[in-house]
Amino acid sequence: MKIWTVSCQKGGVGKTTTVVTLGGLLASRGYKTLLVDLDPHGSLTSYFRMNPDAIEKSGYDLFRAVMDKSKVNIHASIVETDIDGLSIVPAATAMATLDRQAGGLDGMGLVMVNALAQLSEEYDYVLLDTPPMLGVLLVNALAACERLLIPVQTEFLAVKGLERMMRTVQMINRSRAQPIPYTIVPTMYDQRTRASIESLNALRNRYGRELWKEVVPVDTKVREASRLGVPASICMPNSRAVHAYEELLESLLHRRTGSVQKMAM
Amino acid sequence: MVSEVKPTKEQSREDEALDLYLTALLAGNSPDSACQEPEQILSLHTNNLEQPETGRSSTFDKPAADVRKTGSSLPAENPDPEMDQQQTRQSESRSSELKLLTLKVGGLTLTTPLSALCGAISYPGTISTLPEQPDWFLGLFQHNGAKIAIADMGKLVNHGRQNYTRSLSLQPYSTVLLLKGGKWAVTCDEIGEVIRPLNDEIRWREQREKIPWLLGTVISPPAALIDMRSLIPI
Repeated sequence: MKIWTVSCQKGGVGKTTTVVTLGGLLASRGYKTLLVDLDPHGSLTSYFRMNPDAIEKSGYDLFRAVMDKSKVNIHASIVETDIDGLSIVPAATAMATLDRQAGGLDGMGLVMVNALAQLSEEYDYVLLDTPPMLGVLLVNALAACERLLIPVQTEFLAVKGLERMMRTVQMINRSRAQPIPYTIVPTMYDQRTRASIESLNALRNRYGRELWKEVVPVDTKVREASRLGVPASICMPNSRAVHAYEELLESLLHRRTGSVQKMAM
Repeated sequence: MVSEVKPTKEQSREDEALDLYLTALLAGNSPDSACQEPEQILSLHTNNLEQPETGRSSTFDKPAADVRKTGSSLPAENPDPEMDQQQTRQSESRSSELKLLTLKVGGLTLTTPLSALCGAISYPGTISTLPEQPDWFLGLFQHNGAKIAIADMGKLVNHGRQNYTRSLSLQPYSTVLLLKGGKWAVTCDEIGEVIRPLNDEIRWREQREKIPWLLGTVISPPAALIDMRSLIPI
């Protein structure tokens, strides 16, 4: 089981879109995939037509169980989506209170590591969606992942958010046996705008090695897919953004597994 | 190519706070391991704990009879109720058993939810100071094998009062309160009694943007009701 975290300490850069689209692509290739929504805003949860304000079982239960010293059962929080091979652990709005409840408790950054260990034989990939704010949830996602994907909108403010993210990663790395490998993914690239072009150049100059060589273009089809509640990779397979995410997935799979591919039958 | 981001001098203080936070979160210990049983923590105050609870007196003449009960009175279903005013109010309205510890610091009379505390110990003899810290951050001290950060509550609650000064060599604190979580402690001059105010004896502040740690006011005995965790500005 491979665990990827999708995170950037700025909102609106395409985190949830990246999680949903990569998740859809992985599922369509036959990989059993679990999406975990760790953002109390619950965008990923809402994407799949669940209400984070009224969710019965969610990721919150994992943290609550640890705080209550009861048994953590991640299976109880998993919801099957309508897409074959794609499941989700939804978010609950109550997760926004976790930092105040658990931010001072030792070991609360390792809840997801331990919970996901229960699933090591059941899923091929786990994708974690994170809040943009540094806190218990983001720390959990960073502690659990084997690779970090950092979507960065190609505009100046987002590049600034990336710097903040890099500082956080540096600090988390001090507590890890191995530093987190990461890939920066330029998103919402609009070749007609100077801001996109200059921001991309700035990213290339500063983060060349870790920067994905391609870009995810701005694409209204992604928004339409969100409205339908279906991954764009499934309902808009020929859109430009989906093609870009396919390229991204290819690069990630080859980076990790070389020729070991599990194709859909 | 530059993939490493070096923090600026201005960021170093923030980094230290974040380091402390992240180290705790990623520690392999069980969540409550840092929070000792109050019975152990309060052992240094044994002489203060022998008298029975005295009810809802407003005086500080008698020591904290009920503090010994801190651990046993922690509501299991709500490990941190003081953090959220609404949560606290709900809890209070449900059970009418909101327990507040009264204390004095820097000339002020305060109360704070008992459930936020691990216990109280004497002011530590040795505190390791750290460079370039805010004046309210007194340093770190060892307690039961753990390093605990200690904050000057007098400075924090009197922040903004220009005439507030205190020399710790001339006016040392006598006591520190250990906060739940086991990473922080705050100084105080005197701990008082545990009170159980009724609903209409607390005036809750609805807007807390400017002073987030001030939850409201207890009418009888008159005291500010404070949220310890919000008090520490990290």
